[in-house]
Amino acid sequence: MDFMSNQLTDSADVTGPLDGGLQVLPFYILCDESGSMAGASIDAVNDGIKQLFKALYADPVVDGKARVSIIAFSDTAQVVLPLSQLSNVPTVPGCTVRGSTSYSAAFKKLREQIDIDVPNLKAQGCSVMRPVVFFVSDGEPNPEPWEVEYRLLTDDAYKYRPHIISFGVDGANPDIIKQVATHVNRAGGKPFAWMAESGISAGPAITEIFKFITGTIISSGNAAEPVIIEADIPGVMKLDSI
Amino acid sequence: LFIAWDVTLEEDVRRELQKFVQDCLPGRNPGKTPIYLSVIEVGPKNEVEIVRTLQTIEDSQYFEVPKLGTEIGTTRSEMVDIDETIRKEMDRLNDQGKAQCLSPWLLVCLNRPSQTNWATIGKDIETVILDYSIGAELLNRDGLKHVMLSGVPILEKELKELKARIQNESKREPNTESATSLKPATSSSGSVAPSNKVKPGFVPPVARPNIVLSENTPVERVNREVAQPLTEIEPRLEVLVSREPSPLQTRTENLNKWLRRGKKSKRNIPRTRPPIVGIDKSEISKDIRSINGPIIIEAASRLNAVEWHTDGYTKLPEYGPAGDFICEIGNIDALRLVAGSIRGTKHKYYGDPNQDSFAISHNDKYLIVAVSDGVSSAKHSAYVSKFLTHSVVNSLKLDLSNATDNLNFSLKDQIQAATERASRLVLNWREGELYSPYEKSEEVGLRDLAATLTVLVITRQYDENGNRNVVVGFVGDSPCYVLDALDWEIKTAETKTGEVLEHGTKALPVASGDRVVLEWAEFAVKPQQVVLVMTDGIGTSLASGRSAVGKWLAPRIPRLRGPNVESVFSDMILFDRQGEDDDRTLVVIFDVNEMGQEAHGNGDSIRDQ
Repeated sequence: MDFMSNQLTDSADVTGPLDGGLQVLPFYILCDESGSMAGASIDAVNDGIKQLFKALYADPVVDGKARVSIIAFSDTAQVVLPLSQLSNVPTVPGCTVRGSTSYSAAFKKLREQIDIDVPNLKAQGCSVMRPVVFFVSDGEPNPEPWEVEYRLLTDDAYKYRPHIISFGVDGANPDIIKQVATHVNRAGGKPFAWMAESGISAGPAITEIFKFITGTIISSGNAAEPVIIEADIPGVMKLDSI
Repeated sequence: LFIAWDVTLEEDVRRELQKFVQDCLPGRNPGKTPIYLSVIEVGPKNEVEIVRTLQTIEDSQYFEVPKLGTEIGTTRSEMVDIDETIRKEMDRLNDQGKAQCLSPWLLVCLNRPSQTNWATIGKDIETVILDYSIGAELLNRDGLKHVMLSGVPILEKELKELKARIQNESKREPNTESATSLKPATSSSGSVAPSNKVKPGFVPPVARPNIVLSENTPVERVNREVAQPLTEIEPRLEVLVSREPSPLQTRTENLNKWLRRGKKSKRNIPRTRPPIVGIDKSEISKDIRSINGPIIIEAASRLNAVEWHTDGYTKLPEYGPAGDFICEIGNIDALRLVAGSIRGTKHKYYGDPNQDSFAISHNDKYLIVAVSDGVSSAKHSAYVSKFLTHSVVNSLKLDLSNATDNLNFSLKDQIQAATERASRLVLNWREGELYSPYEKSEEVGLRDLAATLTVLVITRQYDENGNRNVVVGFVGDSPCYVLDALDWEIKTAETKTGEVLEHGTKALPVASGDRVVLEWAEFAVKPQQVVLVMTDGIGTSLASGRSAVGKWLAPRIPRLRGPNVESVFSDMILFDRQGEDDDRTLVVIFDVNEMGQEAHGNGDSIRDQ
């Protein structure tokens, strides 16, 4: 028993018993690879992915429970890494810059993947925890009704709706980054959204964000439930404190 | 190179094996000696089948990896032993005269515990066994390396090492050592000259007395001929090699001896059924244990695949007690109580203490049990769980002494009051108080103090209907079950169910001034029924009871009535299962005269166990 919410809990949509299979925690990294990420930003993303692999390789407890997928988005969204146990992935994938910033494509692709991944895991006899998404973007979304796809993804009616923890750097809009984050089930129920401080370039900020993502996955794998670590992210501030 | 692999290997492992073979391709392996490859599959019933005959690995021959779960036993008729297979293949190659085999390598990759005696197979063959089957004992003999695997990185490392060894061997000049050592020297007339160059201690190979050898005799034929058993040594054979045998030469000679021996008798290799644990009571005697001792249910965990004393594993916590195994056993009238708690493997790995706790007390009317599970993310949860359980049972022991027969109402009130008192008191501790945190209480926030609590009160005597009455008050997800024969019924709300499992659970203490909200379960227990309270270290995998753990645990509960109860109970609570690494606490309460005497469930009677 792990994730704490003293006297406060989310309501589980109980539709039937799960018969005690292996508990797995699906994590999705939804990462912006639009043209504005060229240079230090995309290098920091790819280095962060390598560090994530390294950290999970080294921890048999977390590696056994965490399943990680990486979806990169620009004009379209593509699955860079299907949901996997990282110790089973022979080569570390990477992102490459291209196109503009379509949040619609990102959220649509994410929902499609979750719809595939969760039933797959359940078919393998796993007990699947609610997915957690780390959303990283450096720019404003394209002028499109991205909220439609976002609502389909996060609506209470969607049985696999994930928790979304969002991060903005450089040219991202703090209000939109805050809007993307969902209420994670914990005491206080606040959404978790971070924004790089002004004057902090995107590359170093993304490096710190990926360290935080890795730490959160490690803590969560250890606890068997999502644990948002409380440590400050250097150069990045919580949006509710702005 | 012979590869024998288990057809149930997971895809990622098979992919690594495929990569390994491809790395041995001539283009990537510029050795002087070509590598011949044969693939043997080990089926679900340990039957073996050659699926690729021994042949060179050509660049164009990317061999196919069989699909997961290939049923050899049901789709192929011929079953052969591995050493017999290797022997046949070696003979076939030698008979073709196409190649002269150096000592072969055997790579075995297993996925399940196997009772096949791998140590005796291919005894003279350099063998590497890569083993995911945790229940297996490590094999040990010369020329055999047995590696227990716990992940693809280790597999990669071992395959890399094996590849280097094979490539190193294949870079030797053919016919320079082993071949030459067996090549007879011939005179110009074809007769064999006597030797005067053999050093003491070196036993040269011998040939048939009637063999006719010439300079044109193929080396492989010579090898085949000299490998035949003799009744007397023919002194006319000269051996060109007059120095001490190299390891390769020795192995080649041993191989020839082995091939010769194998032609006389076929080794009898025991075949075993696949070891599956936890299906029904007939399986109890066939438990498979992990390397550290716990019985494996379904698949083994990777943490238990490493011996507990290995560096980096099973760390003592900086602040104890570790609580690796705690047990209480005792009688109250006809009631028997067996309770215990163990430190989960993840907490052993990270050097954290057991954060579960339980406490028992009783007065003349009731048996009182409290179970608590500390929240991992709360720094001092181990203290909270201990305090809550002991505080509540001690309070209730006193408070219930004057309880009336108005069971439901008074018991619930008393449990509520005891829980609120414990929730309040746990917020403050004196410096140096037993098990208290190393920090001062005023410096510790609520987020570092969190644990579930389940309090169960059961009457010691049967009521007029022949039942005992139970009241359970709980905060969080430490469940209570009733077991009737083999049928489980959960009595507290299941908190980890649904399309996806939710994060979070309720926990204590509550903020000062807030009211503790307990959930309740009240029920009557028939004499033959067993009451169980546990933390989610067991409860999550037990789930509805219609689970692997439920099927495994149910028929074992009546064993608690018998001898060696500590040992029986430790097996129950220490089981090893993939992904199950949390602390576990289990309290079992039953009537010693009635348990198992009447089967009311859908399962078979367990009376005779």
